[in-house]
Amino acid sequence: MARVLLDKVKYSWVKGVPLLDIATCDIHSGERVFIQGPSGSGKSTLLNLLTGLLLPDSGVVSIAGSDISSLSAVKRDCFRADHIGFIFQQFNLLPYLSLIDNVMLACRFSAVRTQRAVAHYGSVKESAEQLLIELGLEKQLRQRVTVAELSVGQQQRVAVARALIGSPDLLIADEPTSALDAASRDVFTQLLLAEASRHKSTLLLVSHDEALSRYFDRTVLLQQINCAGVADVA
Amino acid sequence: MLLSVALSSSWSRRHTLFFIVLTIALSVMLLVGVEKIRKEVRDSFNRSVSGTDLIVGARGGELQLILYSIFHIGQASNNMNWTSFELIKNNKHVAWAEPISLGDSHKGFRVVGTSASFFEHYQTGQQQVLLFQQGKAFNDLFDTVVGADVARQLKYQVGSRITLSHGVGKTSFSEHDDRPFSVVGVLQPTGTPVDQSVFVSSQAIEAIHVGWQAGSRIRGQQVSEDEIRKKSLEPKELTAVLVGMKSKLGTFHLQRQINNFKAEPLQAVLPGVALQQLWQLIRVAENALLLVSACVVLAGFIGMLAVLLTSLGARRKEMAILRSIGARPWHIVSLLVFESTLVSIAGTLIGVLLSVVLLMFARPLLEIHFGLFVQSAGLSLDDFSMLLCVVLAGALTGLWPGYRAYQMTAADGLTARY
Repeated sequence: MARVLLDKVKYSWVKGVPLLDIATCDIHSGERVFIQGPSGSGKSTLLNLLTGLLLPDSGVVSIAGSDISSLSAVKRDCFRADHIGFIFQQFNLLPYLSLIDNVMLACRFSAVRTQRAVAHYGSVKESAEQLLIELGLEKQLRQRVTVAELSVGQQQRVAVARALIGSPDLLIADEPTSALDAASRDVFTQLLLAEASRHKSTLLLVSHDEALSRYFDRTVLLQQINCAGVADVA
Repeated sequence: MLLSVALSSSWSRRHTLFFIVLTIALSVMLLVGVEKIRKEVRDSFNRSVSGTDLIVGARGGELQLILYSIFHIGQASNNMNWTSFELIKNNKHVAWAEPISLGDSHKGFRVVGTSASFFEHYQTGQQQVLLFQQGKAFNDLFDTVVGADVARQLKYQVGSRITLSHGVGKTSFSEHDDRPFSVVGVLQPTGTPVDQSVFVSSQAIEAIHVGWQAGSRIRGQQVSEDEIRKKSLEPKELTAVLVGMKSKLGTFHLQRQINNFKAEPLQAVLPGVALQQLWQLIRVAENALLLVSACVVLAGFIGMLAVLLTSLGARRKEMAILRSIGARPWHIVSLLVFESTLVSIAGTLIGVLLSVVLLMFARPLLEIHFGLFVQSAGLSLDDFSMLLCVVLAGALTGLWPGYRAYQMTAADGLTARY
């Protein structure tokens, strides 16, 4: 589990025009937080900062006690591999890999997560299978369906399995329900929350859809914590 | 660990990649084919004469001498005296000397007047003596031995009767049709001009010209065969002499002696030196050929570059997913380099296979139509190092799209929307 702390984080794409200016944002270990913000509010930038793909102009981005903004590029990549599970809006899967290989992929770059997966389930493959079964994809797993044959909702569930394998400390989901209808959205969100709790991962879900907020421990409005105001760069 | 991902990724785009593999395969096939033929041409030049220490002829160009005496290309500007030949033959350093008299032909093939011992002394390739596939060396005045190509193309065998033509053109208007020869021997193929030669004795050359003057028959003069046989047929002139020395040390001494010969202007050349000169001449064309095929390979790689760069747009999401699970920038670059390497290796292997198969089938055709004697369709060590360079160049081609992909993922981060 990991505490996420943003302290005096500033970021601007264009010099002098700050996009993000967050005085403080503290997410406790194991907390399930919904970050809501409209399009163009800097959600993407925030995600890239949290995953270490962008460095803040100033301030500290700390995850599980590590100031990732002070790490080297290689160390940030390693940190991301070891500590963060990421779920995209859609097209989360590599279409040329099988379901199980897509899930196992997350362990390929992280010895830590491989170790954990092996410790819990005996092997990475077993771990991936169990996760897919937990997420209700047993039939698809047994029938060896391809990624292209899955519905969008099913694809997102495989993405959750990939994000969860090896129990990373932090789970980040970027508008994971935007391609789902209301019913599937609710089912998916509840499943995601249950799995995050089961794997004791801190969960950060970023979306513009305020209907999701009711499922979460806490909702953070990006406009409220971002002092830079709204810019139209996403 | 990235390997299987890269492999699956490439496999998923196999339909596009297939064509680029094909392009590279065809260009490599051309490269290997050209290189092979280039080498064979060079070898066949070097193969054409061996074991001969000096070639002697009337003074002129060194290149010209080897061209007309060995390759039967062009004609001698002057003949040399038979007495000079005898002097050379009787020199104490000389092991053997064979006369070469040219100037007649048979259906486009050159007639070589020489002595029967020519077949024992003349060597091709790596000191290989001439072997008979049928019959033996000539014995009688009107006997002839034909080269392998002559026998095959004109369907001659021992016992066939032929007549010679005056001059060296393909079609001749003055036939020595009153003096037919019978084939007594057919030589085995050598891949040298010997295959395209008709051999008779020097005396026979003299004999067929009895009753001739200035290239045409003297009207009304009929000389019977018996009369000819009674005549002294000691030739007065010959075109060139091939000399074998008892010891190599004497070669330069004799060469100098011949070049300074007072009685008539002669020259002696070392076959190796003259062949080298000839090769220098041909090298330009040969290198141009190689350059063209190298350009074809280059075009193949540029095609691959275009395909890889185009594919990047569609692979943005793939890169973002890999970055999200912790792939480093070099992983992304190596994904592209791996793909270009894979395509190059596949293309090269298929190209080599194609060229070997094609050469195997084309071998008899090359031999019949171009007289090119391809010894084996296999690859040499040089070919392998050349192919290694091709694969390496192909692999490096992936660096540019790799760098572009790296730039792209750096800009996209985890938020590539497509």
